Amino acid sequence: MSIATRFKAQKSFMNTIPISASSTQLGWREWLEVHGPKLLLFARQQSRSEQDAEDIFQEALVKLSKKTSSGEFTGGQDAWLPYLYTQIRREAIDLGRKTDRRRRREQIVVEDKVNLEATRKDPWFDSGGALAERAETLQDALQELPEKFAEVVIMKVWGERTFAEIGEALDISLNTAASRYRYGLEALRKKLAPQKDTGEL
Amino acid sequence: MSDEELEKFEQELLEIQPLSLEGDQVDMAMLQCFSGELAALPPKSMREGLLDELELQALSAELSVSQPAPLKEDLLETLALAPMEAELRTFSPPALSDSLLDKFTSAAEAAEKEEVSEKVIPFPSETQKKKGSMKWLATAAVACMGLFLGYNAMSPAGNQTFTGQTTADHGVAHVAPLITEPIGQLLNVSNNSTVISAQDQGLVPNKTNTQYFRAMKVLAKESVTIENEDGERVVVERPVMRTVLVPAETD
Repeated sequence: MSIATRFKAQKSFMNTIPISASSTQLGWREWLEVHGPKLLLFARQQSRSEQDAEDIFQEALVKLSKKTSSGEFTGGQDAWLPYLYTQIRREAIDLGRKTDRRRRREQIVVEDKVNLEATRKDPWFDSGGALAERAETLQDALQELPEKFAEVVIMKVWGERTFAEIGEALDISLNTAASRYRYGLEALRKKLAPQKDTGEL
Repeated sequence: MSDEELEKFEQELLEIQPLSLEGDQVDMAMLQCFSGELAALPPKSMREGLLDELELQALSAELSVSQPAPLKEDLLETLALAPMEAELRTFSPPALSDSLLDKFTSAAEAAEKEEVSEKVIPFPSETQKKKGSMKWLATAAVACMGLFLGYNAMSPAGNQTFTGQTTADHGVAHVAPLITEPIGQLLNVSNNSTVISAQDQGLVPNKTNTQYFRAMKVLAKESVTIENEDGERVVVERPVMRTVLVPAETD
């Protein structure tokens, strides 16, 4: 199945699954099929490599699973997404601290370069043919953006979170979330503008 | 300070000082008073969002520093950024691969099962008893705590009066009798108290001032040995600090 066909199939699948119906509880796999891509995108933005992104996503998922089965989690399946955004960010911060401490001890420099290059090569966006270059340009622009702007843009555009939810996940005020979103989009527009002028975008 | 206050202040200075102040000295005094008032004023806290503005300005000199208004979601459509947002939404993250889906699903389901199994505590069976099991150590520790408490109950809290000579350093003495009745399946084998150091704290009189005692701060190590039915022993030690009163010779 080509990427474009799979993308279309996913979109059509998303339209048929009742995502927020409280009476219909999705199984883990079904829920991950719908929401996994945007959460993994966020995890990629928060981490330094593809492996780290998968690890922090999985850690966050395991914590959610334990909370739901123990009865500690409140809000139902609709609250899973906001919880996971917050938890993925926390896992990323913890992992970053551990990696920094290890790096200081071991003075690893080469590994970082390899990881950074690997992250660049793992595509963040689904695109085929002519769109591939544009998707890569967008990915580069997002990675060059300061983290605090990129994470808000990703949560808002692809995560479809409200500013209030973004503020809660990132522990900032609603206004700050909105400001960062605006500045982030402005910065992205300026970064992508030269490509637009030359016809690449 | 207002002009009137400054004049008044100047007048007071002239009245207080026996010698008349020169012009420069008056100015300096006023300036010092004024600077003290200024230093007492706290700076206003930074407006929220200013840091973000300044950071983005550093990134791009073309961005303005105008104060951002709180952005309402329903107004987004009217802003120039709406087309940008729409363009970004034309890209979407790829679907999770089957292997990744399997990996995450398994992890989530395994965590669920682990959480449930931790809540189910099986009844211990006779066959599960293993020689050298550490479980009895926990029981031993509790029993030792009881022994320590019993030992403390035998002597006044924190103090002990010796009637005989004591060595200042490294003495060993039986300070508590053995508890010969077994505690469950555990038996108290020995109790020991080893003096590590003793410091002279000076003379202390009794209530009627008829007798003096020399106060000694004693650092000791108490140990209790417990044995289970299989002959395995556990030694539990703890440091103790006590003040010991030794009768002092007086004329």
